[in-house]
Amino acid sequence: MADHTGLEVDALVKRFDDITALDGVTFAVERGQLVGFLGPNGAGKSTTMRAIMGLLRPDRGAVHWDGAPADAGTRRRFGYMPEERGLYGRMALADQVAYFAELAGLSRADADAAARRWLGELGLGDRLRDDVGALSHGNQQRVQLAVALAHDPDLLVLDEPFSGLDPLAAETMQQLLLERVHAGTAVLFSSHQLDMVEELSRDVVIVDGGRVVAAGPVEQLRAAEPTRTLVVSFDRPGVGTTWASALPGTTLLDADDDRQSFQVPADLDLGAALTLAAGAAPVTRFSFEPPDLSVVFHNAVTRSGGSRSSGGDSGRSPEGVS
Amino acid sequence: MSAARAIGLVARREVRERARSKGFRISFVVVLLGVVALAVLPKYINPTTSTDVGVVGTVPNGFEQVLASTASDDDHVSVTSYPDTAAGEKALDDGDIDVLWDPSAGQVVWKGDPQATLGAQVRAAATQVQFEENATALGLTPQQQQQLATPPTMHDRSLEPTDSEEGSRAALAVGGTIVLFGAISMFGGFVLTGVVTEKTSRIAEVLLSQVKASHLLAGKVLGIGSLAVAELLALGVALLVAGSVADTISLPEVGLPSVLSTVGFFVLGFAIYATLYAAAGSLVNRQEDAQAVTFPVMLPMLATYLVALSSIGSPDSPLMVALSLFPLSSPVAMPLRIVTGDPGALEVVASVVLCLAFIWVGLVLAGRVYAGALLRTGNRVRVRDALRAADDVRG
Repeated sequence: MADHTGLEVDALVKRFDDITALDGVTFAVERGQLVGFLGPNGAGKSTTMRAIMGLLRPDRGAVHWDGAPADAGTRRRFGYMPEERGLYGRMALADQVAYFAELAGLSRADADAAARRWLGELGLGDRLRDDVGALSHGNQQRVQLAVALAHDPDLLVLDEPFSGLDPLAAETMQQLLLERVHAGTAVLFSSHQLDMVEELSRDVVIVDGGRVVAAGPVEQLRAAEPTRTLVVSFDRPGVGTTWASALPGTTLLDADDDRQSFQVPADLDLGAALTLAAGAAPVTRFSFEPPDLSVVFHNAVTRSGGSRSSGGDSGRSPEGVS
Repeated sequence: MSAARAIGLVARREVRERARSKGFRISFVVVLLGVVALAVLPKYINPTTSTDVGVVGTVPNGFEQVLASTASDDDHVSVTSYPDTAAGEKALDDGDIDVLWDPSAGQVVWKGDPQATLGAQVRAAATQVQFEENATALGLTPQQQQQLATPPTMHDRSLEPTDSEEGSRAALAVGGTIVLFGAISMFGGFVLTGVVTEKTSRIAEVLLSQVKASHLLAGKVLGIGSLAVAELLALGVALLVAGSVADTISLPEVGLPSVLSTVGFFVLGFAIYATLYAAAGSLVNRQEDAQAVTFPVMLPMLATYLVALSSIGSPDSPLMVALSLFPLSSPVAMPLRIVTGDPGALEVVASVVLCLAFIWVGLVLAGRVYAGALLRTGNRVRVRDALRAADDVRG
């Protein structure tokens, strides 16, 4: 992977006292790629992000950018939004964003222009002189994103950028991230909102217990699952689910009115299933899809949970150091 | 980015945001008014005294002038004539005059107990007037009169060397120390709360992804320190201007080296203690805990201050020499010695170098504590743990 462009996280190991926070985390984010970073609380997401940003020195492993070890100089081209937001409450929006942009190396004039531009794009153009403390939570979040974006970084590392945002604000932020990705920025963001991640990013990395337990394009991960979701709708309600009992390895997920969904094996004989369903009542809809990302996530974490219980307390959170 | 630019950016933000804050402006105006009041009030609290002398009958020629010449500068003497003893005694009884001279009766009349000084002044003036009258009656020429009145030459001479400026010097040194103490408490507190704010609001995490912790702290100390020096200069100028307008203050005639050393060590002292405050701030995670760490930080300063004040008579004692070299105490002890004692140039240079070394090492260590403590939240962090955790972060 030496000629890789973008971010490479290579076998990061980090122990805090007797807690293993990172246990060989490895993945990559290419330029122009948007990667969702998933994992239960305490899986090591924030610790990994801090290591990428150089806030934390890993015991082993390395962070590379465009094939070279990341240092203070390359990190100046990274933009960061920490999990716990950090802004000066009593500082005007424009000054604040410009300050961080200058710290990242922009000239004063460029920093001022960038602050205006990004705050404007995030819908805060009319509040440039307001103190951050006077803003709503969601708007503060936008300012935090503006801080991460202002120096036009090559890599964006965003820890829970959507938490606490209303749907409209989340949509604005999604649009902005997609624009950045199209412009060639590498984006790594963590989130617990799996439906949003599925909608937004083609690729995900799932960590648990300080290890990557699944990684790759969402579509591939879904396809690799041994189960499928079968949804059948009938022309009337109250058909009952006994017709499906003849299907092998099938679990009822949900049934309401005229619609029923089942978890079925990936190699289910679809023709036979349709015949059975049609025998119960006229079928108006029949779909057979890979499971949602939430199922992929659940299964990946459950599988790793087995290995974790034998690995001592390696799954305890790095935040647990607190 | 160069270290200088990073430190400069942080310092500029500190100056701009502090100066913008309402609390800072209000406190500045309050202190400014206080200083002006300090300069002007003595004029009203301690106005010039006036002495009123009554004379029964015609006031002899020259009596008032002679009386005035024996009074002190801020004592205004007025002489009033009364037609008879009764009128004079009434004025004395009413408090219009302090003393009544009745030449024909040969009496100096008081309302109560005689006042020795005023009595002597009145007698001396009366004697002088009488002397001139007698001389004229004896037919002496004015030249002969003058010859007769010429006093013997009497200059003051002391066996021990005296320093007319010693009072001013000690006042400057002690005053400088008090101002240093106050300024460090106030502006050091700014550094402390600034650091704690950045830690608790996790701004530090964004900052440290771009700036080294030691640069961050250095910028903070530099920015707030510049503000402190600027405010003190402004207050100093206000004090002098108001004082000279009100004519209550005259610049002590102290040598430039004394002033420069006091100011120079003020800056060093501020930097040292602000660095300590920054490190202390790195160890706490809640604004409420911040005050708890301020006392231990100020303790060495307080101790030095008390020791130095009690040793003001022996500024070059071994204890004072040691204190003037040790970085935590030298910003107080060394200017005191420079002003009131006689430290060698080598000692002064050594003291400055030790201060600078302390600041540098202090900032680097504080930076490590800051970065190390950042990832540990919860209760107060022990220095040892923070330094150990600093191995986990870049310094």
